[in-house]
Amino acid sequence: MLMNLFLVACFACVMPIMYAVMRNEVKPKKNIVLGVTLPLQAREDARVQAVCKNYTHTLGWVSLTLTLLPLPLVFVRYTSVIILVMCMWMIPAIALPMVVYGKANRRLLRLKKENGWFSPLGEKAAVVVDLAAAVKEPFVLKKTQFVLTAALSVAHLLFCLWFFRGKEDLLYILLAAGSLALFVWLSGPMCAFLVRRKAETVGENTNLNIALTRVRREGWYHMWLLLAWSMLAMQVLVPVLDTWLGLAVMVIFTAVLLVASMSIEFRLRGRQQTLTTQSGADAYTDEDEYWLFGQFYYNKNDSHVIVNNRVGANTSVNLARPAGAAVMIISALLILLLPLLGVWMIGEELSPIECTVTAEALVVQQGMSTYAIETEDVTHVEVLDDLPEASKRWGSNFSHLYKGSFKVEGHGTCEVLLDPTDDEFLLIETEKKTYIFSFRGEMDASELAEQLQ
Amino acid sequence: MLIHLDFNSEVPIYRQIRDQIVRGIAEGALQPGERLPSVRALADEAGINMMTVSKSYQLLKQEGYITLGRRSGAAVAQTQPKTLAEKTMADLARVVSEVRAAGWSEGEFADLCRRVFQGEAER
Repeated sequence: MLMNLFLVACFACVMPIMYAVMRNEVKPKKNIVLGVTLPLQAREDARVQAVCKNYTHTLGWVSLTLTLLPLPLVFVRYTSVIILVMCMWMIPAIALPMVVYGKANRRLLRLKKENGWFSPLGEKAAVVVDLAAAVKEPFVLKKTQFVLTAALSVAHLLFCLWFFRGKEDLLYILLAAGSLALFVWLSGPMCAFLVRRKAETVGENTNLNIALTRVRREGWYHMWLLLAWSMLAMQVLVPVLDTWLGLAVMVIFTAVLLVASMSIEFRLRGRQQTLTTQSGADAYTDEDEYWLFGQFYYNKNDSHVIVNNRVGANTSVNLARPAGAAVMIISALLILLLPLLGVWMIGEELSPIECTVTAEALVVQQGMSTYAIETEDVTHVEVLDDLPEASKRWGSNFSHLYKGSFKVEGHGTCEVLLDPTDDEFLLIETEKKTYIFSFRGEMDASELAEQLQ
Repeated sequence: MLIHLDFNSEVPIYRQIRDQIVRGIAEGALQPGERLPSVRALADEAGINMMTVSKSYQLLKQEGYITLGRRSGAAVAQTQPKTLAEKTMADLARVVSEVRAAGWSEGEFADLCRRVFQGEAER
């Protein structure tokens, strides 16, 4: 049940984060409230405050309901069923808060139009560029730490290549460490790419525009530096990650990373809010026309594919660009098709494990996986009453199915296809590999062992 | 100084950039010798083609409003041209024709010009 709770929490923890970020949208930053640009005097208007209060109230109830809804899954027996339901849950978990936000955005826009709360610069959106800010370099990217993390990452990979040479873990460690190393190496270039994005242009105050640009780019710098160092740390920890200690380390690590990145995001938002508290009294830029429901950027006159989100550190895509639209469509499809992954997993976990023994070979099948062992290769057969501690190297790891390559205490790396809740397990050793099977009571492991012996 | 690019306007973007920089110089928002963004930087900021910005800068350079150097980049010229561009003269002649066709007197037109020159007409 603890593992089920952990699994549900991994999905459900998204909800409080989304709630915190979306609730923050009612606080005016850069003259923007709930995705609508408003002048200073309008932000204190009672009707605007009422829309914000209603939004916060509705968002709170939606988020709370969505967070609590999956809790009964903790008592479900099968991991794959939990994953299927949570994959289905993801769709309303993402969509409903966005709908709440979109409705509030529309209400505020109506209020804006009814009251003529437009910038003295004009009703229609135009592309605004601050010439003086475009000349200055508000933020100079310091590359030292990115170079350092990349160098340490390479050094670690070379060390692993030497230390684990000849050992069976080498390929697994290089693959896992190499994947993390990729994130480390890409952090610097990604940060350099982002800090070249468009400068902030809130109004005619060049100093304010430069300050806002600087704080955003500083936020990116800290985020990517955090990613580089944390991925390097994970890379170094790869050799111990396939143990229970490793799992605990990963959980703590992920939580720390999450808290740190949220801290950077909210610190940036706080600075944007503070810097623009008195902004909006004079001329200010208004790009509401380009932001559909305050959330989706569409501007066919903008050649950029990746654009800054209006507040915070995040980025978005320009839906008017084919590449931007493609990214959005693919992202939406991936979320909508997630439940299919759950369906596949149910098939994986619940398919029967079948075994056939002939004079020449033992064949064990489950779903699309087949293990065929020639009887003449068998060197040792044993029946285990309990499954030793096992941790996955690659494959499937459900509450009622272990399949793939696992590190099993006392037996090293084994190919397994078994239900860990079974009463007995068949261990087969050949010269090259060790296998562990179980059959969910459909076949007697002891009888099979006798046959093989 | 802010420049506003209206993509729904009939005025080409390169012309809008040119006109607003000239206006900035006239109003003192851009000082002699003040650096302007490079072609790439301005194109990036505005999300427009570099050729559009380049065309605008070349026009400004031809008219004497800015200087363009390989290393020094773009900057407002230290001294502004005294003579008006041919197009400006042609535009002025067209405006005068329209004013006369509307029945305005020379004095009324001069008064309007004075107010526009001093920025009062827009207020």
